Amino acid sequence: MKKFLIKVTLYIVILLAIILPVSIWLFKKVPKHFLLVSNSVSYNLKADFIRQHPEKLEQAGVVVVGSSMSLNNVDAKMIRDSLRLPVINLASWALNIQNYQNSPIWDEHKIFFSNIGVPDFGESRVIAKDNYSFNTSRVREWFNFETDIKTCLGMLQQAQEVMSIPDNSNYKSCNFDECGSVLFSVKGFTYDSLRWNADEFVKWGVDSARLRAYVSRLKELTGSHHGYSRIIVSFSPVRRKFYSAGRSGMIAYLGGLIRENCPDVTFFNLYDRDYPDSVFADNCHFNVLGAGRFTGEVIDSMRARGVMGR
Amino acid sequence: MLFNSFEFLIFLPVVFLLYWFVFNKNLSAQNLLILFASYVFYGWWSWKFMLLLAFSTLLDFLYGFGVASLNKRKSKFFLWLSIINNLGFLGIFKYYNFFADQFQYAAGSLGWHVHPALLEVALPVGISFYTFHGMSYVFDIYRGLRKPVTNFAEYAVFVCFFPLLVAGPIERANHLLPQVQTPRLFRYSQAMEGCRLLLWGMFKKVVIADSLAGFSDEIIGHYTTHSAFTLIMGAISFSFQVYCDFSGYSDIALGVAKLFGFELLSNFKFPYFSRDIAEFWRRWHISLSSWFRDYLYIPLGGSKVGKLRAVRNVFIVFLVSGFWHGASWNFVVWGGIHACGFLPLLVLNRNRVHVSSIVAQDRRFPSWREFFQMAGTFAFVTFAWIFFRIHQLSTGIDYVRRIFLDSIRHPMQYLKAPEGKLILIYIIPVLIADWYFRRDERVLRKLGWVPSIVMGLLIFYFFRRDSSFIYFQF
Repeated sequence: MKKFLIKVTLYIVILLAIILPVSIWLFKKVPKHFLLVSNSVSYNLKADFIRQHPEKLEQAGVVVVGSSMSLNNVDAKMIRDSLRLPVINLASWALNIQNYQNSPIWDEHKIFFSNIGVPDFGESRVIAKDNYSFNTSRVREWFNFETDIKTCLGMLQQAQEVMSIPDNSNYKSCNFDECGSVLFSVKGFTYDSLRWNADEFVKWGVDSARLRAYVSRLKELTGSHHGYSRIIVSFSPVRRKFYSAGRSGMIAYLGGLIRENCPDVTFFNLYDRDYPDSVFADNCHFNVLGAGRFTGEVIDSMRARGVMGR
Repeated sequence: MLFNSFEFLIFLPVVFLLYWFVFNKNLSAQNLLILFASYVFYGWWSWKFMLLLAFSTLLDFLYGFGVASLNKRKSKFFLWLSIINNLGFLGIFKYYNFFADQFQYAAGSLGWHVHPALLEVALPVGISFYTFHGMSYVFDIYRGLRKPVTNFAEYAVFVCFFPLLVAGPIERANHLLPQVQTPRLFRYSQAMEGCRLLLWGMFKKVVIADSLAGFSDEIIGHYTTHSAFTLIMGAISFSFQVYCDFSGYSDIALGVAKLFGFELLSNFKFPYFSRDIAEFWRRWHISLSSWFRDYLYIPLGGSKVGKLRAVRNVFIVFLVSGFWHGASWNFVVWGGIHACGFLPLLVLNRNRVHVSSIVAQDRRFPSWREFFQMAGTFAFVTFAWIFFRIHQLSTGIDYVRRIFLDSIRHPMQYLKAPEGKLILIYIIPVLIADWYFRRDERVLRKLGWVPSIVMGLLIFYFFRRDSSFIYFQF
């Protein structure tokens, strides 16, 4: 036993002797404006955005939450100007509503708006440190081993790449406007044929179970914040090539489920809208033109339904 | 708790030290420690389902006494009770929603709109494994192969020993229970072998399988935009992903068990070097295929009941085995494809040709004949994996159709360097290691310091917190 323990201990010591200096070197490479709070570059950058402008979150009357479907497809400035309310877009790549479960934002009387698409029906892959959810008092900026080394390495590499993009001409752009949205440019945008031609429904294998799981998470969220908040959910259109009546039926079914299970949630189904390819950056994300058109239609729907002032 | 988690990194040394330094004087105390640790290991995922595990264990423990009765009718009654009970648990938690969905669909197509209530609970991790443990124990008592255990803790350790609790290997009472009942001695060679297996298993899972998952997810997820060659690479990538993921898990389980003085059943013996499908199934997920052989195929009459009934038996076993993997039609199709591959061998009495030999038995390289046999078997198995990986049947068929159509339309693509060639970087080391060690399944006796440290660093570098094992879902 003694020989065994000595050998195992020696092995661990050798490994640590290599790993520790590498980790310290990595920590020193973390960019200045980059909070290491999750395994998502976009989320980390948004966390830093909120850290720099905490008043935007505190004063916001409308909070946009969700994934890139909200980050890139919702023009928060347009909502602000139309409704004359301060708006903050807290959305980030691959975030799902359950990522906001523990957020302090729900304690106030705000309106929450989430635009969703097919990718939102899966489980979120964003793992936040200490359940971080824009609660700046809990942010730990130092490196720790909870954030695994591969994620950290990958993130730093990505962060440098993302932060070096000067404009919104790339899917990876994270240059937030003053309200936190990232609207893809039209001129000079680098299109990716894979993303342009991929059928999201096939990729994500959307079925009724996934829709039910989403509604169940939404129900949990609204249940735990009952009475505080109004939540608006919209479903945005996809490139016409990928539109189908069957899928439209599924979205209608989703609307029914939301109405049945989450009476406090208002659902706008805009999936059936016929948008030209010129307003898309890929199969389901808009460029700045699409985001403007879509946000305008959502605002009109809000007004028509009396969710906001007419 | 996952093997590839920080929690397990703390859990394992703590239990190991308690086991050998605090509880080492008393066998019962050691067994109770293992039992407690196994429940902590399981409860880390869901404490509620611990109750289900305990209940299922208790029932089979009690049924064991009933089955051991000299009264044949009573014995049979308890056997059936155990079968109904275990399959009932599986039916409720694993298959109920599937059948309810199918019923709704079938009724809907007849114009009858029903909305059966659906269960909104997660599938209890490892349920397919621990129910099979329980059933094998009861079956063995019924067949007079063993007597019931009188000590509940010993039986409970057999069912839920933490290394094998959530994804096997599916142990047999006659193999594991005697080890639970006799004092274990610490042996340096066994413990070192355990550590090497653990390291190798972790390497296969974290470095190879998780990296290949990125390729196969990307290619299969966007299959409509890829060429035939890339789709083939995607399928090959998944073949090795599922192999390294599951055999990696089994290696870790075997390795951890060795650290506690246990020897578990071997689950994989280099399956991708099989020369036909029959050999493949003697080398892939051995504990499951032998379970089905002993408790389903042979009771049905096996191959000794005439050709037609033997064919029927083969189909039953493969289809049930497919369905065991998941409540979805694609798994049944996957089982059916393998049955079709097995069938010609059975009909021609060639299903036991490669029972005792391994490929290139006394040679460094295979003969051309063996090479083509292996390549053919691998191609067939990889084709079947497409239907295992893609849950929607129509999508799986479309994937295969695109491979054929695009190959015909653009045959020159095979002369160019394919997309996804990086996949080979991950596959080749595994193939070389497997080939080199194929004569001795206790692979890593000779693993030296430098490869061990390199593997440890690679595991640390490639480690991802959010990665789970594929076979957990079953």
